[in-house]
Amino acid sequence: MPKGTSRSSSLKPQRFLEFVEKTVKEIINEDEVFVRRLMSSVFFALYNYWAAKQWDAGRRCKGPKQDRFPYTLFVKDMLNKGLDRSIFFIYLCRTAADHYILNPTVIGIWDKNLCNIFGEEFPVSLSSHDLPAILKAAKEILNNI
Amino acid sequence: MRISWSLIGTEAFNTVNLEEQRAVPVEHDYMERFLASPVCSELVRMHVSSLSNFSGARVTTLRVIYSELSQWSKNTLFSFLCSYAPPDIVEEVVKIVNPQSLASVLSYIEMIYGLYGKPKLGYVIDEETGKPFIVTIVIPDCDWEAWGRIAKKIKEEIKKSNLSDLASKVAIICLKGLRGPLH
Repeated sequence: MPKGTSRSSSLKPQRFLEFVEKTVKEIINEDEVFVRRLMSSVFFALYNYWAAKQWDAGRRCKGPKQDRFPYTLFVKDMLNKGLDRSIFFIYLCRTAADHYILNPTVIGIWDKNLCNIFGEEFPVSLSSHDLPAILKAAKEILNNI
Repeated sequence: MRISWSLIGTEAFNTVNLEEQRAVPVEHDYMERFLASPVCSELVRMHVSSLSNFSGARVTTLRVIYSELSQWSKNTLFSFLCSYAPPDIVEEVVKIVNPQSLASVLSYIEMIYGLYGKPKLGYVIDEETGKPFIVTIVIPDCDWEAWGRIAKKIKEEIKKSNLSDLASKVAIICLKGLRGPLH
């Protein structure tokens, strides 16, 4: 791992996103493990980079080294920038990919008022067809971090 | 005979500096739709009636709506929010955001983007802690493309109105748009 003073230069996810894009084009099967891991890794690559930028800017958070930034802060910061569509879409896919085994599934992050909309009527399914939209959203977020 | 003429009033309307223009009255059915809400309490009706000049006001910015709502009591605001979600949900939501700011944004969205359907209010739980962490405003009928534009415009308006704290705590979600990419 490079030991430069800038964490963000080490964690910039540009090349990783290019790698995912290339991988998506080469995926010819519907291996769900690949799809889930790619979705999750795109979210966390962006989150790591955002946290690194915060660190470089002098912001300190939790943990013994004060370098643990809750990802909820990342989501909120993106909402603050008006990137609701991109961050929410990626966050939703990442939640389904990491926390739910069925596919399609019903995600339980909604209150009961929204369960009727997002719950029974709105199953989230994960497939490789969603990856291009996730990458597009990821690029928009990356340009605004 | 020589006739000279000029366009009257063109100098008074500068399309570049729109923010410096006087607000233009906007025709809308805000009050009618608001009062027609079956869950709107009698208390709210009373307060809204007292603001009878509201429908004729120049409601062009979120800030104007926020100022109008500053006259409302806590109970009135709560009742108003209950037209967008059940009371127990509203109780949770107002722990996350300021009720007056939220009511203003909901009114603004319904007024400007009402064609996309009546917004719904809720919150999202952090999957790892099990606690609510952001408020959601769901606009039912706008698609993926419109979602991107509308969310940005609403957040810009929130910031222009000095309600910046709200921008990071509220997610604008377009239901039809979300259905688009998630087959």
